[in-house]
Amino acid sequence: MSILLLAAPALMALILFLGTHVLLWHVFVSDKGVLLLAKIAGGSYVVVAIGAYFLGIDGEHVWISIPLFSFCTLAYFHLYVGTFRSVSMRILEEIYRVPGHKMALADLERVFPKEFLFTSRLDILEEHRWFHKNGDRYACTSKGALFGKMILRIRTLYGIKNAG
Amino acid sequence: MSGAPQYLLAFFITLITAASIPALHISVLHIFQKPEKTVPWTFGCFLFSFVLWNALFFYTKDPIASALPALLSGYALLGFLWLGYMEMMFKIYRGFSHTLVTDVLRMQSATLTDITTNFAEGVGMDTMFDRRIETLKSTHFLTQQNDVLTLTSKGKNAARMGIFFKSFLKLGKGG
Repeated sequence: MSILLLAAPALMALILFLGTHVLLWHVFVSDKGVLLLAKIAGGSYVVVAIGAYFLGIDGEHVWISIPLFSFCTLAYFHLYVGTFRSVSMRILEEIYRVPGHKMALADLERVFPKEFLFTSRLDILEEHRWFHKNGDRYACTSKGALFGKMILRIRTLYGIKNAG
Repeated sequence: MSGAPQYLLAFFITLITAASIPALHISVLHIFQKPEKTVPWTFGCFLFSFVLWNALFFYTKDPIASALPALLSGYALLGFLWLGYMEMMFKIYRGFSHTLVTDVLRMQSATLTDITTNFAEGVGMDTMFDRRIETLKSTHFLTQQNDVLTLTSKGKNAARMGIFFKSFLKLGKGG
């Protein structure tokens, strides 16, 4: 079986995934999180794999199409999160919007308030139940505490200080 | 399903070599004590695992012509595992939300003011912002004269790409 034919389902699933993602992001979706993106990716592969089965394509393709599709999808996730959520990217974009592409630090602080970074992340963490809010105080839920302890253990294992 | 043994061999070698990535990474970080190199050094560890993968695969497998499908399969799986590992390490070292979780866990309960002033174990939000700007300067995305930041051509290209991507997907300003 040709290597191109073996890789074709991965490419078809990738096209279906990106097409569905762009369409949904334009038309329907307000929550543009990674979890939904992962569901679309998984669904796209399943649809293509079922299609390949009914078209009589040799099942050997799964050995190549699953890792290849997973690799391409994860690379796209990197691009998506790295662009959408990156503080550094937002700084570059804010400076780019100014004529001459120059900006004083004080002006940057005005258009991209540091506190916004915290409030927007805290809202997301609360929404996903990592934190709960009591009055004006935030605390970890049991899920958040478990996750936090795991991060601290990994940081210790790797000898990472000054994270963040 | 034909050809399963060669794919199983490729997957088995991938799992062995992928395990070398964290092992080497932990060793290097402890030996050189440079946590700021946490993410860049994952590239080096990946290259090591890639060389190891090829050495093991071609030691056990027939010439390249008959091994191409298994080769592609193994490369893709190794690449996937490395990307996942790099993402995890990036989040653990620089992840903003991850740091908020560990900070609040450490403080047990905190107001917004507590969180901003004690961000990253007491470093504070100003330093967090300054770190990002220092990284952008050291990677030549922008320059700084006195308190004025100027984009380099590399910075302009990255900003253009980011603005296009966000507007194309209607993502808002992000950050």
